[in-house]
Amino acid sequence: MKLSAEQIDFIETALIEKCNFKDFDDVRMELTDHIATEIETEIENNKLLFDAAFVKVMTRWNSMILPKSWSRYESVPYMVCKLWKSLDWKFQFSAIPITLMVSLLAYYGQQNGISLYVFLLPILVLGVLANVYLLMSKYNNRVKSTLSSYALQKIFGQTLTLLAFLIINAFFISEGIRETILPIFWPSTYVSLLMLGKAWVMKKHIKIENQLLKVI
Amino acid sequence: MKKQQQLYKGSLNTIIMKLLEQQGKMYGYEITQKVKEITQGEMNITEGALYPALHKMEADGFLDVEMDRVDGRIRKYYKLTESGVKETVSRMEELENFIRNMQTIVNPNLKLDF
Repeated sequence: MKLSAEQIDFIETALIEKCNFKDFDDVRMELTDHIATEIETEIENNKLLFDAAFVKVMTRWNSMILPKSWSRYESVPYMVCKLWKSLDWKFQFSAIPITLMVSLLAYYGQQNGISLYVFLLPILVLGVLANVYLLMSKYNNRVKSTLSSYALQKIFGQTLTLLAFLIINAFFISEGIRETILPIFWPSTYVSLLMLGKAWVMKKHIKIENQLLKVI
Repeated sequence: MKKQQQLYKGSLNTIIMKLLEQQGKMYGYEITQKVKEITQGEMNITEGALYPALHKMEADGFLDVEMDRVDGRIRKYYKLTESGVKETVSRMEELENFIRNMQTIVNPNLKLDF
């Protein structure tokens, strides 16, 4: 027996209200379909009523979809949280060694008479471009996926941080201080790399958005 | 059974990719049922392991998604991308090597050909 539109709505509403899937359209729709199929199987095989089948299936799913209070992303459903953590490793944490490597390269360049800005400016320009792309996406985004929500979280705070480093760097240039600002180099590079990573994630979201717009 | 599940755990991505290579495109529930059917109930992929694996492979660019409206709800199908196809070949080689080595250790007299 196929579920009615109301019953499917009921499942989706439960995912939004109880499990906080509001901002993750792609996974929410995917889980709604999976849970609905499991409920249909329960109704058919075990002759249960919708309510009983719903409780039985959701009890099985609870640990995977409810947000975990001990997690870094405490209001994010556990399933999404797992993906976000893997993205953190890919972008946030891997940006640290890359920043250190670029800083080291810049330091040795500086020792050999190459200005720090030869390294810093291209990274900052890319960071700013990525940031503009993310801000534009924030306003043009028509559906919310796990990837877009990840890329756009804390975007305003990070934009302000990038802006602050741009101003500090501009101040050093205007004051003619060019060769002694390695401590500023590190966070500027890190924030820029972070923006590049998030822009990459956002680009991946576009594919999902196109697919979702086709069917909703 | 539980210990057996632990053994399968490390090969989950390869299993999913191989299935997608054979079937073209599949959705989550279909994958769990197909694995159950092929292994005659011996292997059970839990949703808690399946979806994080699918989402990670999608974010890594190994899987593409396609959405369709089926029975009044939206169904998300996964299929391999070009890099996913290459990755499947290399993972299958690794898995076959692993099985061969395990077989040599467990039963040195038996020879496997694949």
